[in-house]
Amino acid sequence: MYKKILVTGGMGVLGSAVEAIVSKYPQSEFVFSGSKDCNLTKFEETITFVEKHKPDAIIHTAAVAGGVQYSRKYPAKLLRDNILMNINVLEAARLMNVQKTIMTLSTGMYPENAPNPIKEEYIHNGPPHESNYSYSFAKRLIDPSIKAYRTEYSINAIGLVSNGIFGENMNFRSEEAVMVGALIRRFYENKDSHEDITIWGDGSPLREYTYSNDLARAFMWCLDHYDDAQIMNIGSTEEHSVKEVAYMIAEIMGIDQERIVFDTSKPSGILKKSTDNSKFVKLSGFQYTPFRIGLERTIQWFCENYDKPGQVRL
Amino acid sequence: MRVLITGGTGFIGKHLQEELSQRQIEFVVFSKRDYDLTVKEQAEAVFASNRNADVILHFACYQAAGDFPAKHPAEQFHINNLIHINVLESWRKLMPHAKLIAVGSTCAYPSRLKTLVEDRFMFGEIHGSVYAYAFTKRLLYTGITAYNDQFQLNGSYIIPPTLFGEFDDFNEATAHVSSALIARFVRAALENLEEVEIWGDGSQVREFLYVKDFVRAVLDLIKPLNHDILNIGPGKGTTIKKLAITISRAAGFNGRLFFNPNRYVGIKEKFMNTGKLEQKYKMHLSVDISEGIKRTVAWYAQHYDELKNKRKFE
Repeated sequence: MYKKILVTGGMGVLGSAVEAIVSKYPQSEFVFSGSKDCNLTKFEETITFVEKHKPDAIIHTAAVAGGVQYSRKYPAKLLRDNILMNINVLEAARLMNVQKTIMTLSTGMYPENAPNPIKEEYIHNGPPHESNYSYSFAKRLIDPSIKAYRTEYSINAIGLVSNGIFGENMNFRSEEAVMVGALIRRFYENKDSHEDITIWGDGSPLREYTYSNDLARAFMWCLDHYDDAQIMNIGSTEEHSVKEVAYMIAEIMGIDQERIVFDTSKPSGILKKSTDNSKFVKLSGFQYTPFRIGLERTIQWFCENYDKPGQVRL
Repeated sequence: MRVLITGGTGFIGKHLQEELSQRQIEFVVFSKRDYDLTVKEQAEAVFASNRNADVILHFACYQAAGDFPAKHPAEQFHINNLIHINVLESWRKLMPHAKLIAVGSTCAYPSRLKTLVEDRFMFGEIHGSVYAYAFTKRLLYTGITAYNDQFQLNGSYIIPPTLFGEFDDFNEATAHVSSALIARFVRAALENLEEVEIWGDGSQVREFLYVKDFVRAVLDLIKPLNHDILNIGPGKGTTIKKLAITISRAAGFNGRLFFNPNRYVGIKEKFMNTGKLEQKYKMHLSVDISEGIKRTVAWYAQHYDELKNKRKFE
């Protein structure tokens, strides 16, 4: 176990999920940083920050990301900021002799037409979904970067691939939220009206969702036990259709399912996207939280904090 | 027309300068000592002081062949990512009116791809030691696409085959096969050696282009190129055997050529598909490299004493 661990993206859904479980690791000291503490796109700031804290390990979860509309609008920003953050963190890790660095990838980067379930080695084998090409490429670039830094400087950097993350502290801002967050917010804000709530597409696409608490535990396991150059899928493979998720959220929040309308004139997205996490599960024997339980906790947290200023990213 | 060249003092850059002068086109070049493109402020300074240029030819990169990429993958990865991101940022901030044309590399094509056709450039594994460098060339292409999309800029990406000519790197540790063989045969001729060893059985096929033919093509394409990715080469390969014989004759070498099949030489065949160059841009480049080889050999022989011990990076 590393003595001092720096978690970037500390205000994000994954970073705060790590923060929520630090009591399980009393022998380690954790530092959580957000963009206000250190702008990781700036090299000098990054170096100064890492030098100040002298961590033994870095869990780099910070990223600029958003939903489909955000990705279409800001492809250059997504590419630039994510790549700069990644190379600055790796450079800082090398220069400050950080013993272990975890880089975070996401399954959105995998080829759109990759066979299911998607294995790690498919990463570069075809175009990602066009709506998110620049973010996906920034994530793909982590793979050669960790190999290069391991080869030339013998640093211990690994890449972990998350999927469909949701949980307390997730982003609910309209342009940046992913589906689960966007639905929870819309349902909550429209719960007292009787109007229809429209969802794009026919609701059939199947997706995997991983509760942030699970990912945080998986990251902590890999910090101590996984040291290979090969990136590794660590998300849950529990799959649900968009329709199932919408109905489940409605049921938990007490909203009439009849109000949910699927606009089939709008695109539905890729029909199925599942990942192969067998390598990780075999190594770790990991047990994931059932989706429904994670979802209930997330919704409860959202409802309890919605009115508290600054608690929920809205 | 006024052209700002990055990498203007490098191998291709020197030929661009000559050709631009001949065509009486105004241009600006600068060296790494004047402005270091890995430093954001310096990249912005050189763009800010040349805002009246309407074309940017982005040829700067940190590159060498031979065993250099295997030894310095992280350094190459880091430096090139910074150069490309700083150039893209300076372009959109300070010269968004200018057309940008950036140079890519065939090494970024997927290793297993049989036909190197433009729309397959991004997708597929890159094997061997050049992967880190090759991914920075993919980043450059993704970056141009993303900056075109987000800021409505006009950037294009061109891919040459292996170029050779005056001012190339002739150090056998870092040179590409064409210039490495030129150096070896000129030395063998001067020292009256009986035999020159060539790795592989000579049957491997690679694509070569004389650098002057390439820069002429680039300048002819400045006007018609808009938001495109384009292979620029003869679209045909030359065997290493033929290349070696052509060079040995030009160098006046009278000894034996020993093709050593026990040395590793990489994939069997690699050349580009130039259908787009020929059909859309009506441009055909000859596969005959004998004239270019003659000139390059003569130039190298003339500068042999000053070049024989020159290293690419001091």
